[in-house]
Amino acid sequence: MRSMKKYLISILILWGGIVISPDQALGQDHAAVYAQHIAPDANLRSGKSYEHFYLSTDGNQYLTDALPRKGNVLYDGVLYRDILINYDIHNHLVYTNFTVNGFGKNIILNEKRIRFFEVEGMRFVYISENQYPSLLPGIYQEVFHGETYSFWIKKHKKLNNQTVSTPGANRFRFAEADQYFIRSGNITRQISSKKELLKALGRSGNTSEIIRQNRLRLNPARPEFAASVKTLLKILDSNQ
Amino acid sequence: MVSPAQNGHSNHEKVFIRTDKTFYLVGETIWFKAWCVDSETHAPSSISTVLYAELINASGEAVVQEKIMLENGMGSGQFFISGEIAGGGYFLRSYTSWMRNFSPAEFYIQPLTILQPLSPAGDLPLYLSRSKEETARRKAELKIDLKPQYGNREKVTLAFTAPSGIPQEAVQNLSVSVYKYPGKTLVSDNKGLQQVSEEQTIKPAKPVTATSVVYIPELRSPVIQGKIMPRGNAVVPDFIHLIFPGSSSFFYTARPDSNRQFAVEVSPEIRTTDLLLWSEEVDISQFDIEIIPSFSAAPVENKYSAERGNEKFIPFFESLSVNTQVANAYLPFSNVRGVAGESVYPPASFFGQGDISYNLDDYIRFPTMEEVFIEYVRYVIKKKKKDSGEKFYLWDLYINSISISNTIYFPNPALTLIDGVPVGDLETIWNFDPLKISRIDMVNRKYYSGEKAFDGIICFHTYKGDLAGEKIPADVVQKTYKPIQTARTFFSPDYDLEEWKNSRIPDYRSLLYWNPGVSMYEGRGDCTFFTGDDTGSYRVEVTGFLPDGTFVSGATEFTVTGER
Repeated sequence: MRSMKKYLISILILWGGIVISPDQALGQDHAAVYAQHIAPDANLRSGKSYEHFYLSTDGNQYLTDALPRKGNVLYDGVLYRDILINYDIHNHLVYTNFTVNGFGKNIILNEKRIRFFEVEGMRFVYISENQYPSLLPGIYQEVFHGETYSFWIKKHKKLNNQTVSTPGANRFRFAEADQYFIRSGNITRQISSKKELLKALGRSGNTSEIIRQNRLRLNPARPEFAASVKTLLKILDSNQ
Repeated sequence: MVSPAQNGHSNHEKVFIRTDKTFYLVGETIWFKAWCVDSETHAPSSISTVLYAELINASGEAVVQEKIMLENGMGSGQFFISGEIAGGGYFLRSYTSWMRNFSPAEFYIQPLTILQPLSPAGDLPLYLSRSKEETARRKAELKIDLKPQYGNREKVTLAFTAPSGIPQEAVQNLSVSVYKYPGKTLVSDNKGLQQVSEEQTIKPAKPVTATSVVYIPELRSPVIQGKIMPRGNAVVPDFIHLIFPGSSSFFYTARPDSNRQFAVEVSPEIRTTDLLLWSEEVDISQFDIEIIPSFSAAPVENKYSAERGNEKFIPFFESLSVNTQVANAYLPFSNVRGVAGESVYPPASFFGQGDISYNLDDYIRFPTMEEVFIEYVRYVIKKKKKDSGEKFYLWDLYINSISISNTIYFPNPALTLIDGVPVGDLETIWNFDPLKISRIDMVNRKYYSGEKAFDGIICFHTYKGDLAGEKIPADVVQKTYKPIQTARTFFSPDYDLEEWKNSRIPDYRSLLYWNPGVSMYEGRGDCTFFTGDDTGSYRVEVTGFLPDGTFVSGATEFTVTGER
């Protein structure tokens, strides 16, 4: 009888021809109404399936490893926070991970609709065609982006020739090969040495002084290279 | 998700709008800034991200409707007043989807006057003042520093200061407008519009108990709601797909509930007005599909009085009319409409890049699509099963990468599209002129669309993304969609720049400056603009809400004398 009454109420409440069910009851807060109709992070749940391919290799093709980490992404005009995300550097694919009915699903994001994503303390942006003439369209790590100067890293993990890592078994190995790009004003160029970096920035006494004072190590082979370039550009940008 | 109880805010929001001015001529643009605030605290609302604004004539018809995005409860937009819009009294009405669940009396309304250039003023209702911000709990007046007089093409630096005691944190949400004004001698009441009847007065917002929840709050981006009703005994499909076709296509999947209602959150980046509905399971054209209108149909009540018998304003509006025509004739069109922002996203299909793609111009062209497939398109086969027509089946990229045979195809047909439009029947493909197809993309892996999974996608792209003039298939239902308005920036000449310094283009703008995002830091803010070639009185208005809900505003006037 009670359910019958509930049913009758549901067909009696009409608005603009739309039947309102009793569970869309009065006084619900907006978050509850939203959650009732829209799946969490709904539009990240659409995309191509991502499968882990190179399982039998030395190293991996990911930012850190195959395990997605919590991060943020501005995707298709909407900012999603604390979602599981990973970057397959070898294939240049960004994917999210959701658990549906106990099963994990990896879904590839459409890179052209990524404005940026942040994971593992790094920020990546999608640079489109003609945005910066010297840069091919794709995902770049944005180390610094200021008024006059920017610094991006294009990450690569190449699958090297077969190597024998254990007797009797042929295995592949992933090798990292980053490319560095500097924007100074309207000019963007790839750099691969300290000399090229200084040339891109327009060598001046001031730059040399900043490098010396901050003890910056600007050899691309050194691990502190990216942090040093960031510090340098930050100072130069604030001096503009 | 944070519930209202958790963050101390109410479950209700209200909208406040500030237009650049309140009287316009056809050919001008109405610029507006919107604040969507919590109805109790007046702090920026965290409920809605989409704002609905419409220009409604005296007969209650909406002549222009726009949707704008809100960020932290703020947004800005514009209405261009085209020549088709008649002169008269109008209402700018604004609300959010969530507000539609409550009384329409809560919607924001600002009366405006639109004048036809050749028949100004007359007996039209003239709204020369603004509706008051009746409900603000805390108000503060900004002090504006400005010289009383300026010359032509002179740089004006406008500085404003908030009174002590208001939060000193940085804000970037004040609107500033500077427009030609009839002057104090003509406008008697400058304290805000008076509402006609006390009973009709919009009282300070009280939480209204919703009578029914119909409109889903747009917490992240626009939501499309609808209902599918079968004709006869047809079974409602489990999934309905909502598609925005074109070179930038979007594809969504909705699952109707037990009431046959469905809802989908869509991207704010959609720019097309074409909305298609399709189902893989049934011919959806055999159902009645209702998309809930985005805009409210509730009538507008006029609560405001206006000046009438406006002979005294005729000389002012006549000169304004001439100036507007001069400005429209000589200044760049972008000055009138604003400079359109470029999309940050390049055109792309909803699925991204194909795993396998064929640019047909790279191959020998064949006269039929069947020959194209026979000659060079690989990794796809066509099969006809008992219960359905001929379909494409795609080679499975993942399974084949781990299998020895390398010849495994998906068991279910691929989602087949032309420019994002679903094609259930391969006859449509075979009949298509291959010279109209530029590229074929194949997604040779599972494609998830919400709860629905497809065994790959094969998409045919025409050169312009418009089906090359072919008709939409009969089993696809066509509807229209109102996309989010493209943001535009107000344009004004900078006479410090060489290109404008010696310009001989006459500058008779009636709106000298409009900026919906002026910053204030530690209670101080400033902005600069230039006067034009016209002389007369100009009114400056600065308005905004501080993060704590304090409504701040300031106004002053200055004159341009023509001498420097």
